Amino acid sequence: MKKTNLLQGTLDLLILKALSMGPLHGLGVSLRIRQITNGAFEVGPGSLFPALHRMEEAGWLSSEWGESENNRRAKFYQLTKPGRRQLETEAKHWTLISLAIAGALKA
Amino acid sequence: MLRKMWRNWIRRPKREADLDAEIRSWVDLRTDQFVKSGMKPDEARRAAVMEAGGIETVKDSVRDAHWGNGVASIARDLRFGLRLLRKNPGFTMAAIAVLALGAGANTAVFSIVHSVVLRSLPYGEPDRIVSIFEKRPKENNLRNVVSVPDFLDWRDQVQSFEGMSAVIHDVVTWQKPDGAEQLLRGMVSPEFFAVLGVKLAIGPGFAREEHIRAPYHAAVLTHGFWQRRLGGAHSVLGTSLNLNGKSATIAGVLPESFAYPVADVEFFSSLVIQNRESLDRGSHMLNVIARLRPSVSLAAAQTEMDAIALRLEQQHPAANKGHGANVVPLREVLLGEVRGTLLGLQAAVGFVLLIACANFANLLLARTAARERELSVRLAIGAGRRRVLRQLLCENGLIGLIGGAAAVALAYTAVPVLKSLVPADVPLLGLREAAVNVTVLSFCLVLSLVCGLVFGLAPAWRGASSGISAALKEGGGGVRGKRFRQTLITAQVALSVVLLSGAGLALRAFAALRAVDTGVRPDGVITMQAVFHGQRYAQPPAVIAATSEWLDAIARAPGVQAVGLTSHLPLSGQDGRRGLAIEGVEPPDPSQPRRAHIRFVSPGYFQAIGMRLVEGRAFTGADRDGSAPVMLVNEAAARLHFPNGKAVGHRAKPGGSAGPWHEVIGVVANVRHWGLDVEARPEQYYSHLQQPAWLANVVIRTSGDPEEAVGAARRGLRNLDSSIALAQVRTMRELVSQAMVPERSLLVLLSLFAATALALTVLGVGATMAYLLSQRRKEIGMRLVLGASEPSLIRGVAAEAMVLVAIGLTAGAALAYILSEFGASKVLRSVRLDLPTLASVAGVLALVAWLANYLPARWMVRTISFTGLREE
Repeated sequence: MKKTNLLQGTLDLLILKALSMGPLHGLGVSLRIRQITNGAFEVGPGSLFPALHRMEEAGWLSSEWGESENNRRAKFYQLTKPGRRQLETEAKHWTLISLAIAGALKA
Repeated sequence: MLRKMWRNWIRRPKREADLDAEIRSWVDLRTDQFVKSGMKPDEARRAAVMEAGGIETVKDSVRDAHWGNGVASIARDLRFGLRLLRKNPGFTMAAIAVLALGAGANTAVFSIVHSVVLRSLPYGEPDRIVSIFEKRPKENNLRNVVSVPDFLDWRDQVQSFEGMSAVIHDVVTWQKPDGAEQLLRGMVSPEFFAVLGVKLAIGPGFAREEHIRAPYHAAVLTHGFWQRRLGGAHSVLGTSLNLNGKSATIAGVLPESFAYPVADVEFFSSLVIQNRESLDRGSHMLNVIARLRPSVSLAAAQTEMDAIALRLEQQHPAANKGHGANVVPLREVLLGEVRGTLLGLQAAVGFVLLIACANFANLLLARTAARERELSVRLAIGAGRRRVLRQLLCENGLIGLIGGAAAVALAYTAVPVLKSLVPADVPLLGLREAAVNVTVLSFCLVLSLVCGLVFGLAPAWRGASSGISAALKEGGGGVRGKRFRQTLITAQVALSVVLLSGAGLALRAFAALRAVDTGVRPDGVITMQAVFHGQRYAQPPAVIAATSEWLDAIARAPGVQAVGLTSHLPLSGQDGRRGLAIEGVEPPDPSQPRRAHIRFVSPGYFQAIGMRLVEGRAFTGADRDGSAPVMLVNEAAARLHFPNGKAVGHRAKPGGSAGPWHEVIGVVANVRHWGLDVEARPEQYYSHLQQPAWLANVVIRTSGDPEEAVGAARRGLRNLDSSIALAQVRTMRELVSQAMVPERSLLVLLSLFAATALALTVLGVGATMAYLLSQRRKEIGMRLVLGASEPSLIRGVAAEAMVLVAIGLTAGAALAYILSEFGASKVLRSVRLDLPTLASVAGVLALVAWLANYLPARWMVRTISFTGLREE
C-alpha cells in the first residue's frame, strides 16, 4: 500500500469533500477519496474510522445503518449542516494555504 | 466536554458492537470487490483482512478518538498494571519500600528538625533575646553563671538592652492540706516576662522591683500547672501557695503557648534582691537574659558589655580578675548542643533519600529496559505511542500511589517514635508540638514520583521516537544508558559508605561510654531526695539529728547493705563549685585561685554508692560536730592542687571561708559526676555530721527487694516529719543509662539509616547486575560454548561489576573522611573516624556487594548453560 502521510486537517477535508456528493459507507469514502485524488491518497480503515467517529462526535457527520449496492449491511455517513459549513471554511483555508505555499515555492 | 465523555461512557457497549459490525461490513464489502476482480473467495477475504491492518488495532485507534473511552482504557491499563506488579513481587516490593523509606523516613526526621531547629522560639521577637554569661577565657569557660552583684552592676550600667533579668531554678516543697510535694520552680527577677516578650494570660504579674519594700513572695503559674493542679479557676488569683513554709501570693498565669526550656518548671517565684552591700561577688549562680533595644546590634551590645566587665574587673580585682561578659543569642544557647545532632541526622536522611531516588531510577530503568522489546513489538504491531506511554504511566503511577501511601503511613508512625527517643530532660522547645509536616511530606512524595515518572517513561519515549527498528535491535539500551546506570550504582555504594561510617562512629562512641569507669558501682543502688528546710531545720544540729535518725531507720530494713547521703548526686545535674584554699600553699598564679566542686556527705555514702578510697580513711560517725574538722578530696584535686599530688595530712578549706582549716584525711577515686564523657574535675568532700546538707540525696545499697528499701525510706521519713516530701526515687542504674541516652538514640537512628542504605544498595546492585547480565546472555552463552568453565565465568562476570563497587567504596571513604573532619565532629565529639572503622565498613559493603553480584551471576550462567542458546 502506498503510504502518503496525511496531515490531519487534510484527511478531514478529503472526507468532507467525499461526502459532499452524497452519503457513503466507510469503504465508499475510501474509494471516493482515491478516485477524486487520482489515486494519490489511499485511506485505510486504521485512519478512516477514527476520523469518521471523531467527526461524527464533532457534529459534522451523521450516520445510519442501511443496505449497500450489493445488499450488504453497512453504516452510511452523510454531511450535516455544520459539516457543510466546516467544508466551506476548511476549503477556503486550504486554498489560502496552498496559494501561499505555491507562491513561496515559485519565489 | 464532560457530558460528551459521560455519554460515550454510557453508550460504550452499544457502540463497541456497532464498531465491530462496521469493520466487519468493511471487510465484507472489500471481499466482494476482490471477488469481483477475480480472486477466490477465501483469498479475497484474507486480502481484505490484511488490508484492514488488524481489526483490533483499528478498534483501538477508534477508541482513542473518543474521550470517554480514554477512561475505559485507563481502567484497563490499571488492571493490566496491577497484574504485572503482582507477577513481579520482588520489583514491586522493592519499589514500594524504596519510596516509603525515601519519602516517609525523610519526612519524619525533617518534621522534627523543622519543629525544633527552624521554628522560631515561642517568645515575642525572639531574635532580640540574648543570654549573658560570665566569660573566663583562661579557664576555657565561656558560659559561666553570674554572681548577683555583677548582674546588678550590669543591669544598672548597660544601655544596649531594654531589660535584663536573672533566673535560677530550685526545688521547693509545696505544702498542701493532703501532704507535701516537691516542685521545680524558676526564681526570676520581676522583669523576666517582659524580657521574654510574654504577656500573662490572667493576673497582674509580679510587682515592679522599685515598688517592693517589705519581704515579697509572689508566684506566676504555668498554664499546665494552673489547669492540672489548681483546677484552672480564675478565683485562685490572689490566694496563696505554701512554699517552703512561707506563703506566696498567686499573681498571674502564663498563656498556654508559653514554653520554657526546663520542661519541669511548674511556676515562677519573684527573685527580689535586697541588702546589695552584703552580697558575695565570688558566688556565682544566676542565668542572665536580656532584650536588645531595636536599634542595637549584637556586636554593639557585646562591645558595651566588654567595657562594663573591664570596669568591674578593675574595681573588684579579687573576685573579677580575668572575668568578662559573653552575649549569646538565646536561640544559640537553647539549640547549641542538639543542633549538630539534628543536622547530622538530617544529612543522614538526605543521603538515604538520594540513595532511594538513585535506586528507584535504577529499578525502573532496568525494568523498562527489560521490557523494551515487548514495547517495541507493541509499537510495531500498531499500538499508538500514546497508548504505550499511558500504560507505562499507569503502572508507574500505581507504584507511586502504593509507595506514597506506605510513605505517609511510615511518616505518621515514625514521628511519635522519634519523639520518644529524645530524653525528657533535653531542653528542646517545640519537640512536644512536633508533628508530620504536610508541606515536607508533599515535597518528598512529589520528588519521588517525578523521579519515578521521568525514569519510568524515558525508555518509552526513546523507544517510541527513535523508531521501531532501532528499538528492536539487540541491547536497545545503548551505551549511554549503561553508563548512567553504572554511575548510579557507584554513587549508591559511596553514599552507603558514608552512612555506615556514621553508624560505625555512633557505635564506637556508645561502646566507649559503656566502657567508661564511672567511679561508682550503680547496681543495686537506689537514690531519692528530700529537702530539710523551714523553721524546724534552721540550725545545723536539727538537720543532722533528723537525717541521722532517718538513715538509721533505713539501715535497719532487710537487705540494706549500706546507706548514706550526699548534697550532690553524680550524673543528676546537681553541682556546686567553690574555691579551695590550702594552708601554707599559695596557688602558682594568684589571679587563678584553686577551685574544687564541693560535696557534703554522710559517713556511709562512699560505701553505699560504691566509691573507692585511694588513700587514708573515709568519714566515720566520730567526725561530728565538735570533733576535729576533717575533709577528703578526689584524685583529680590531689593531683592538680596539692604539692606532689600528696593531699593527705595537709589542711584546707573552701575558698573565701572564714571557718577553720580541715585536715585532709583521705583521697577518693574520681567519679564521672558530670556525664560519662566528661573527665572528672577536682572535688572536695566535707562531713555531713560537721556541715549538714539541707538537700539530702539518700543513697541505699541493697541486696534485697528495692521496693522494700524504698518503702522503709518512705515510712522512716513520714515518722520523722510528714511535711517533708520524698522525691526523685530512681535507681543509680537509671541515672547511668540516662547519661547514655543521647548517644544511644543517635546510635539507634544512625543504625536504622545505615541498615536502610545497606538494604537499598544491595537491592540496587543486585537488580542492576541481573539486568546487565541479561543483556549479555548471548555473549555468556558463546563463552560457555567455547569452553569457559562455569565457576570461572561466574567469578569473572561478578568481578567485572565489582570494579564499580570498588570505585564507589573509594569515593565513599574519601567523602566520609571529609565529612567527619569538617562536620561530624560536632555530632560525635568523643570519637573520630579512624582506619579500622572505615576498613570494616568497606569490608562489610564489599562482601555484601560481592554477594549481590555473585548470586545473580551464578544464576544467570547456570540458566544459560542449562537451556543452552536455544532461544537465540
